[in-house]
Amino acid sequence: MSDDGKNKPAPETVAPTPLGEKPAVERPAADKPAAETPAAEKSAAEKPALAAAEAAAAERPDTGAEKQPSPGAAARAVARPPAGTSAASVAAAAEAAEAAAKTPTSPGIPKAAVAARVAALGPPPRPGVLDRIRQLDLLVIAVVAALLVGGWQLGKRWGMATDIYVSATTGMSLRYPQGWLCAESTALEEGELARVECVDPYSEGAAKARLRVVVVEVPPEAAAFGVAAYLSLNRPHDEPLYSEISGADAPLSGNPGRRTEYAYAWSEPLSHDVPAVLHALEAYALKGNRLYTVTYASEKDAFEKDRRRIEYILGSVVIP
Amino acid sequence: MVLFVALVWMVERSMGAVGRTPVGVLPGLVLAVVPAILWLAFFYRQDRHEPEPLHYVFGVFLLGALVAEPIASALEKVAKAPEWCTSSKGLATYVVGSFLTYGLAQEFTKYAVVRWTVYLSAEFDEPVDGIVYMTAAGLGFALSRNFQYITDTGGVFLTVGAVTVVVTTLAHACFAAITGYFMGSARFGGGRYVQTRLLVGVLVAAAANAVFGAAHARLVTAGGSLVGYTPALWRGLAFYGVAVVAVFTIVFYLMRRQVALSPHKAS
Repeated sequence: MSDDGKNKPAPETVAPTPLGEKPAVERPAADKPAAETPAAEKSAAEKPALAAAEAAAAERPDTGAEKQPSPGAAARAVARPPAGTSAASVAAAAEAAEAAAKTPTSPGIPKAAVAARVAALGPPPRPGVLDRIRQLDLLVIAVVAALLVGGWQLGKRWGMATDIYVSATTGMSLRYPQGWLCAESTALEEGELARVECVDPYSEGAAKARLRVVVVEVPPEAAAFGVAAYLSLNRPHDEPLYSEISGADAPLSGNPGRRTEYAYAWSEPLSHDVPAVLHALEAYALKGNRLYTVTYASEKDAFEKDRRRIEYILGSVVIP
Repeated sequence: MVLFVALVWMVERSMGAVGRTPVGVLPGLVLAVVPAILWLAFFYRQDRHEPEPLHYVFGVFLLGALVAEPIASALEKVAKAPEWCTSSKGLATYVVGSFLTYGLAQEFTKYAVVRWTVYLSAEFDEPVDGIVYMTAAGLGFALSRNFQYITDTGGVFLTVGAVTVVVTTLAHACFAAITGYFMGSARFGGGRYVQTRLLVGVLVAAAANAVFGAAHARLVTAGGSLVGYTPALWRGLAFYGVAVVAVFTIVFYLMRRQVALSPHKAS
């Protein structure tokens, strides 16, 4: 199944007209049917010549385009011209048929049939259907490519579209990617003021990217180092195979805080797959007697690609 | 197809499977291949007057699976299709995004494997051949995608998976058939600008693909939760029923129309 079937012989010169509008199969440019040329449409007088050539073509054994037309068939077709045919065109066709009869049979191009058609058709025909299809390939590819690139550009813009989460109890807000599924937990643990979990339903791989926001009330006397210790102890307890990667002080919404990166094992609920390794970044800030924690986690391979998104989310946090 | 789904349902019951069941490579292949082959046989038999060489049809089928689908997947990733197409976005946004990413990437690659193999060959000698070859490409495409769906997601609800595979296989075949209809018209139809139908075919098929995708996301997988999407069973089945009948009727009509124009009809 090589390209375009350029090497296929027979049907390119056979001339059935399946739809009654155009030839069923493409022919060489010089061998176009009368219906495709304006000159030919003017008069039905050229029909016998076409009929002669087509009859000759039809009589060929089905062994390839290189077969010669049968001079006998052409002559027979000329001998029985359709009604309304002019004497001049019959004579021209007969001449062509005679020429065909004189041409020796060879495995080359069917010159006699071509000569008969050229004599009957006059002006050169338009480029063939296959030629036009080949020319249009570029148009199809260009339009599809332009639309795909346009879609890619629009997608980049719309992909950054976000929704906003505002905690009803604490007033804290942040932006998260549009399309993520978010749910606020109603079963809060002791000391928790708010807990919301968001999941990217379309992330690939064994585990989905996720975002967690937790607001906890801490004792008024709690110091920053105490909070850090509390979180450091909690994480290994909550996350299986916890392993800390790095940590550094960094503000969150203008409040002093810290960022910690760590890895842990995670298995999606209802999944029978082996657990995935998630890479997480937890940012927290202490304001008043409230500890605000934002944690983003995704599969370790996806995490680096997500950094821009993570920075955007953390940058959008507003702590009242 | 109903028997196939019933069989899978019985297997699921006999296994006592609840929830998602991990499917290995071989069972996954069976689940994906059976509907594709059945649909391929059906569409192939519609070309009654001058059946295409089986090895050509099967070759295009394989190209759909091994060439069109991987290229379409790559294009979808580049175009960030999943980010575009999230059900929380408006329906119009979803359809436009789906058209510009999934629809175009999938329908163009299916078109390409037929256009640059058999389309201009001697075997492509009647209008209905466009539909026959394009459905073969579409079914190959669907086979590859369904196999990934079954084996890569860490388990499927078996019966739901079987219904999904049957319907999406038919859907891919039918979208491709729309392009095939236009390809047949472009090759054998009359008129000065008839060949532009090639482009029209790809765009119409991509639009149909996008609308189907949007409806699928809204109606079948609308049961989103923090643990991922769960199928909305009855609504999904109703959608599948309507979609199958509608799409199939349209394609069957187009096919009949092209068969009636066959030059081999009288012989």
